[in-house]
Amino acid sequence: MTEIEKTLLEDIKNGDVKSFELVFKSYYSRLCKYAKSMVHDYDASADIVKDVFIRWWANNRNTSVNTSISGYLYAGVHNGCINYTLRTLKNNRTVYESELAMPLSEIFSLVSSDYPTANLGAQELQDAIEKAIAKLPDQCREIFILSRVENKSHAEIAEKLGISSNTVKVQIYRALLKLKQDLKEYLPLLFLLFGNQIFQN
Amino acid sequence: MSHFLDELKMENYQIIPEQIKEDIINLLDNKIAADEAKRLLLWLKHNEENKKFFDEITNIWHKSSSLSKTDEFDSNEAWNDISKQLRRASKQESKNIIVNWFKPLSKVAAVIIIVVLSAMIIRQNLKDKAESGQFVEMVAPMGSRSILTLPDGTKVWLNSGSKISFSNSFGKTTRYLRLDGEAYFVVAKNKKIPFVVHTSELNVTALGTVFNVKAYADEKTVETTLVEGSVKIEPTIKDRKSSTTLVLKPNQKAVYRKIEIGIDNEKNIVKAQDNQKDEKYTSLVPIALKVDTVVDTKPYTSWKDNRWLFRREKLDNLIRKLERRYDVEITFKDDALKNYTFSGSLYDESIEQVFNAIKLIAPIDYKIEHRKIEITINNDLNRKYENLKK
Repeated sequence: MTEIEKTLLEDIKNGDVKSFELVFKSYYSRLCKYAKSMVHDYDASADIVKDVFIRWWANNRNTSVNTSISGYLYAGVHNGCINYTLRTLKNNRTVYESELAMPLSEIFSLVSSDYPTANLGAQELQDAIEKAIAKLPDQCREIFILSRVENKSHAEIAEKLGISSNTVKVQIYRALLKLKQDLKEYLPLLFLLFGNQIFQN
Repeated sequence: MSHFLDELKMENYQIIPEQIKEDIINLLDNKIAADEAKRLLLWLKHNEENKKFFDEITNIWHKSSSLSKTDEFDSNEAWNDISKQLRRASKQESKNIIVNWFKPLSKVAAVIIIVVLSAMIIRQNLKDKAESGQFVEMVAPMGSRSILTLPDGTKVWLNSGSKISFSNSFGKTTRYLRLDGEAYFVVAKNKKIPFVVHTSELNVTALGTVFNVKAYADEKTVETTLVEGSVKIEPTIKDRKSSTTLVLKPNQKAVYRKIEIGIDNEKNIVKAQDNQKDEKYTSLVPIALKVDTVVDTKPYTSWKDNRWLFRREKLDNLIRKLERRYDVEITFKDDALKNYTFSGSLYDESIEQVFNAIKLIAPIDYKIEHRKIEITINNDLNRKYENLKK
């Protein structure tokens, strides 16, 4: 953790709203986009992120954040998104949906220990991803950009480009594989582990 | 050619079934079915390699969402939203009515905040310049008031001797305006673009509310009275360690006391100290902003209506208001008059009628010559009043 982060955390622990505001404003938009990529709902994303901040301020100010601020926040948002997804599934009364909730929650719990992507906010990584996207083959890049940058669903992309949704899926998969390979040296950044226990509900 | 070879290499060390590929993509698209999820789960549990592969793919997926340009999340609006809840959440602050500007803040954080703020201000300035080019200015001269509607639909009542200015991009991307003097705002609702009133000392931010701001250059205070909704108040002068912003509730009035820090002018310093004595302020600086709860906002906002109410106004305050409203110059010499307070309501009266009314309740005489009015004490009457007081 950097000195700046330590100082900010110390101030926040002491109830300094201005420092808290600074952290909030620097991370809010990024966290919301991250949440949106998981829950696919604008308002819910904003609520999940706000909730993480409010709970941090109200309950957890005294629990120490022992990794980075960004790791702590991303972990909180990530868990918030999982809870949201499972809750909405459970609230949908159809058998079909609730059948889905079980394996999903297991899938999430399987990966969540590795998940908290502490450096997800790192500019370096972002630049690398942009470069890697630029190198994708034309159609593949177009589809991936429509999906990730313009947030379109696969069905919407298929309709817009007049191709089958199967082609969209294949191209997305291909893009992810290609990025995974191009970003090989950055992947450890994505996998910095940290104590998940600090953010259990 | 090369990326085909790469893909081959990858497929060699790990063979992913076509169905699983599709399951992963469906999961990321939020369109996975129950049986697909079960199949994926089994595959993930099968070995560590599978799980690692899945983690990497989903991480890249989520990370690349930060490139998203379609979803703009407004952190300022969100902050306005949650700062209220924070106030409720932390008990220590719930009764903190007087804001202490000198809340300790460690040096490093202060430096960061200042750097960030100035970066933000510079960026904002550049943005303003780039977008605007031109400024629009609206003035209500002494003796007249005006009502206007801004490009975003907000209605503004401008009191005498007041001026607002804004860039011609107002309402499109920002809603910033500058106020010198007094104005009453009925802000058009727009959750996306906050409405910000800049005065010399304070910024008042609103989303869709009704409020009054009084910030005349020749007065010692800047007052914000909230009628409806909520507004946020923060000082513009950052070096006064403005560690806290203030959120007003309806029927509250925030009074910001300007402190005349004498840069070159000894008289000002003396004046500042005198004020403090007058108002029984013992310490010199810290308390600059305080909140009063008022039962009735009418006395602070009725200047815009035909019927103008005032309540417990000291003569010198009242005189300043009358000067602006009627575009006259009023002088009074006897300090004994200074402590008289007045309450009442005026309905389109002429300045003569106003003074006749005042004459009924205070021991004064007045003389009007053109636009100049001189008030003197009426000693006979004063003696009677003094007797009554005993």
